[in-house]
Amino acid sequence: MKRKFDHPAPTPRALAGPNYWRSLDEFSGAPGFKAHLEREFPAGASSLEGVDRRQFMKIMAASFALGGVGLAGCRRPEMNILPYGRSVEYTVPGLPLYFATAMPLRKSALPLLAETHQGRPTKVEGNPSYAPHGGASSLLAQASVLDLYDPERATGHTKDGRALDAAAVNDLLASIHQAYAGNGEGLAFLADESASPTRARLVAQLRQKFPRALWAEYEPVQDEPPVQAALASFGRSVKPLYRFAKADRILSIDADFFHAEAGSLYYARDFAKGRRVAKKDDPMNRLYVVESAFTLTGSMADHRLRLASSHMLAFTAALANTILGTEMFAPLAQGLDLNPAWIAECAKDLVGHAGKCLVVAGAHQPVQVHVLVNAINAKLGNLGRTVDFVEIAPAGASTLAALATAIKGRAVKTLVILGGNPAYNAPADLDWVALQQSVPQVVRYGYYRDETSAHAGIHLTATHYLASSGDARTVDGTIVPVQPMILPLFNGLTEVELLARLAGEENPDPYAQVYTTLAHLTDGSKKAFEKFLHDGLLEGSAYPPVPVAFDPQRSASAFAKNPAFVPLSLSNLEVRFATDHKMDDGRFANNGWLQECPDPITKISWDNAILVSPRLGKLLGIAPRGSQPQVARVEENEFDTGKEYAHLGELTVDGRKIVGPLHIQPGLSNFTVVLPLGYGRSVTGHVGTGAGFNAYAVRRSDAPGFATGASIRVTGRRQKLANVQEHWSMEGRDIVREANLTEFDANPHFAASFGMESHTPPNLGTEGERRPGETDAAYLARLHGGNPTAEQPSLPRGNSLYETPNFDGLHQWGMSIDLNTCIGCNACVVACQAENNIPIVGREQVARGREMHWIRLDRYYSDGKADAAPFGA
Amino acid sequence: MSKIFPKSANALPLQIVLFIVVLAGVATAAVTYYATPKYLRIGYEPVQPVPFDHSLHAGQLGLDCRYCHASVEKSATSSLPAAQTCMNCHSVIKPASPLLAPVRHSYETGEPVPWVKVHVAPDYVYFNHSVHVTRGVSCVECHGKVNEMTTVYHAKPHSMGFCLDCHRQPEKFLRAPRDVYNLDSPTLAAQGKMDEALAQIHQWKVKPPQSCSGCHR
Repeated sequence: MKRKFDHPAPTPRALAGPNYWRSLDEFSGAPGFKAHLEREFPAGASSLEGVDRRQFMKIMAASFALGGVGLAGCRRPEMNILPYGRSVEYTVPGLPLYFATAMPLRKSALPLLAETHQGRPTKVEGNPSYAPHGGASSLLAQASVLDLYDPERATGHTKDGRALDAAAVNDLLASIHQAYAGNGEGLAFLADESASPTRARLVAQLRQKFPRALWAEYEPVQDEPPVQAALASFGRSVKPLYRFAKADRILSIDADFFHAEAGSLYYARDFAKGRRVAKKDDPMNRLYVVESAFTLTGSMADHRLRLASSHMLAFTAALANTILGTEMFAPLAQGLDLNPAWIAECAKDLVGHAGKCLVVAGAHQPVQVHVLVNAINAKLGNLGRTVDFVEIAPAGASTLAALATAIKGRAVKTLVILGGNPAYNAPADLDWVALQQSVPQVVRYGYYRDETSAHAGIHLTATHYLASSGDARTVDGTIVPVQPMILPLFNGLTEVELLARLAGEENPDPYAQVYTTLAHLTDGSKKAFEKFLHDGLLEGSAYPPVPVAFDPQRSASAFAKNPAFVPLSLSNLEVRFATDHKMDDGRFANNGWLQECPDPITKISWDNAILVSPRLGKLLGIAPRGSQPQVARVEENEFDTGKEYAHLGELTVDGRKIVGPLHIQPGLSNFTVVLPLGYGRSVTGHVGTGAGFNAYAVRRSDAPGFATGASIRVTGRRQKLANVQEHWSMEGRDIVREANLTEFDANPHFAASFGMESHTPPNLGTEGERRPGETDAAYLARLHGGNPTAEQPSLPRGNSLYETPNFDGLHQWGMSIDLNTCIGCNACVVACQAENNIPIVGREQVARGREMHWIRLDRYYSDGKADAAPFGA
Repeated sequence: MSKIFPKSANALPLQIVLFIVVLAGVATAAVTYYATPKYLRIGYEPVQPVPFDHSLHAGQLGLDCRYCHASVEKSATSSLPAAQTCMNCHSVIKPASPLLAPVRHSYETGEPVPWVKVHVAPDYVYFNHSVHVTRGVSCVECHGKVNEMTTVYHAKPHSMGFCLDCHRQPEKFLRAPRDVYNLDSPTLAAQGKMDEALAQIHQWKVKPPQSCSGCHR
């Protein structure tokens, strides 16, 4: 029976307050979306792809007959129990063991605890001994376990397609060492960035032994502010460490410090400390974000401004003028078209919290922006308070461009590529594949047989970090061990061992090498080393903060040559290359957990898309429309019953073209097009092949973060995307309930005053609820009128059939998620998948709404006002 | 017009019904007897790579179960001993016995002795040894008198009903903690100490699950 309620008139808040929606189809009230809402299951939910149920029965008839009639399952197969030959210390069969290790990524590492079952790592957690992370880990760390077991990883060393055994590899490395003994002329290395002190020590030895060899490092994505900015500002080689917990007001200038910047986990935890509001009158930080893309950081902003990445310099200059009280940077701010009140109010708020505020700029922004930010932070007295600077070794490595020049000059005879994947992700203008092919001997060391291995004569198989001995430094410099949970699979080599062999070390064993490194840093005893391995970190090894002072004279040199302000339009679009949330720079492309995990912002799984703003979508003629009933209805929807049919667009930057699906992403700067990197891999396993398009194809070495001068042509074709954004849409429930801090302080129980719950009778009658401290007998007596055995309660107790249990047990579990600090990083989604062994289902099945994730993160958009045109169009 | 059916055909419907009833009865009885774990599992006695004699080790010599099945109190699985455990004694006793060759080989090379599984819990059942033995459920309740077996065989049906018998009335099957590994001891109930069994249940909060998800999880 349906209960009927008299709904009161909507409150003023409901009428004037924010309106929440998940997709543009929902926002425009498209008839197609309404039809989708009214269906219980998406279209085709009950049929197999290409095969309906009848056909399935026909196809499977033989199997059914074999299983049922043949009595194949009558006798259980004989199974064995295989105990150890010799007992293994600490191992109890059936119980897990935990070891400290770390996942290295670029110039930092995540300290982890790995769970192993009889020598097989199955799951990782953050190492709680590392206080800044407090036992947390990231999406990539959670998913990285799957890579260890990837059947499509490289499964052996090869030379020209023939397998090499371990001895042959050692001979090969020794022969390279022999051949270049002396000065190393003709030898070149290309490595990815690393935070390993042992690798740094071995590289120093290599350079000593081969002084004329070239050591280059290349990372496709930049996640730390350019060190030139620090040199110009302070005259020292330092990097910033932000103290978000100490900052009451934070301004991010195109910095996605929850994801794309180094130390994102460190910063997310720190930020949450200033964000958490447990009770009335708790303070809360305020976050201003100016950005071109829509990022996790932007989604947490209290005040968000959409601005093209290439206009950030003008914005920062205008802000610097206001805060520093000068007109020096006015020429830089010329052309900036935006509400001056935003800058004025933001500057006022920052100045009002001098010493307790923080301005952060994105790593991809030009040096000038970082110098201006340093000047602002210095002026506001934030240096040493909300931002510390730590000394880092000056960059000794050459760049990829320098290596390319050397190769063109025929100066490289042997090229050793350590990790990375330049054939896939090098800037398009270098034409890396041709360069690599022109080198006589290329030794490729990598985990996958990928695009780069395809053009290398020798492929050496790397170990997974869970099968490696090594070390690394976290973002704050703490030295952490990388411990193997399992012997290297497929005779894999660690990078440390490979370098040690090339350097001609007597004992190239990676454990011994790490021991040597640590012996210099500790008292050298075995006990100290074992404590380091046990704790998973070396206490007190974090970089010490160094005092810095902003030097206006020196910093002027940074402004000798400034990028010009270019107004953007439909024919002059800006492209922004974004580190993908899941693929990172492409290295995780064959990880099914990550591929299937919906992107936290776009909610697309298994693909990337060219993200365009709603305004640009409208100008291109692909925005959802036709919601009004018309005589001849023309409807243009993004989604059809939960499946996204995206227009394919051709994007041209400097004459280079790529074709990809256009996804309209609310919250983007009007003329900024976002290209997530890491997809479109051509040589990888079957999980990663065919997922998305390769955005590196239009990336130049002089504009790695963003470029202007792009244009888009809509091809007229469409591509189906597995976008979960409209899945499980519901009608008429106020799921999103938010209030600002003032409203919360006025009414901490504001969430109950929304929607239906605010005026319907309670489901659990208050009479039926147990009162604090009430005993079983008293509760039952009150409930049943003094007769605990009575079948019918004598008291009508609300409308509840439910007797509230007595919550006084020894163990009681509950779980709550503080949505005020949840940044939506998706780590919990994959962690749950790893812990509970949930399968992936593939692109086609996700499109049908069959994704099997147990945790789902919805993304809701709000325009602020119920009747406002969205996005200031 | 001649008759199509003879008169005797009048009884045919009844005969058919009777025949079907009898056939169904026989089929039900046959399935109940032959196709349940009681018939299919009990008595399963595979040949082991080493003819280990429980009646000698656990019976005559009186070795505690936990000397070999060391993780039974800590883990979900009771675990089979590493060859090293066997060699603790057999490096001295019968060190050259040809029957022990697989154990010596395993100890030297690390290759496991391929013991054949006798008791198999299906993948859809969760079973934890430690929670049972530490609450007073003796080995003998599920595995029979292993201390009298020359070769281990499947002694109890391990059907769902078998599990539920005990889960419904744990007090009838519990032993005092000191008797858990004494396979010849009687249950507390058999000793007439029902009150002790009930006290044990209360004290240790023995609440065996009877819901589906208790084991099928």
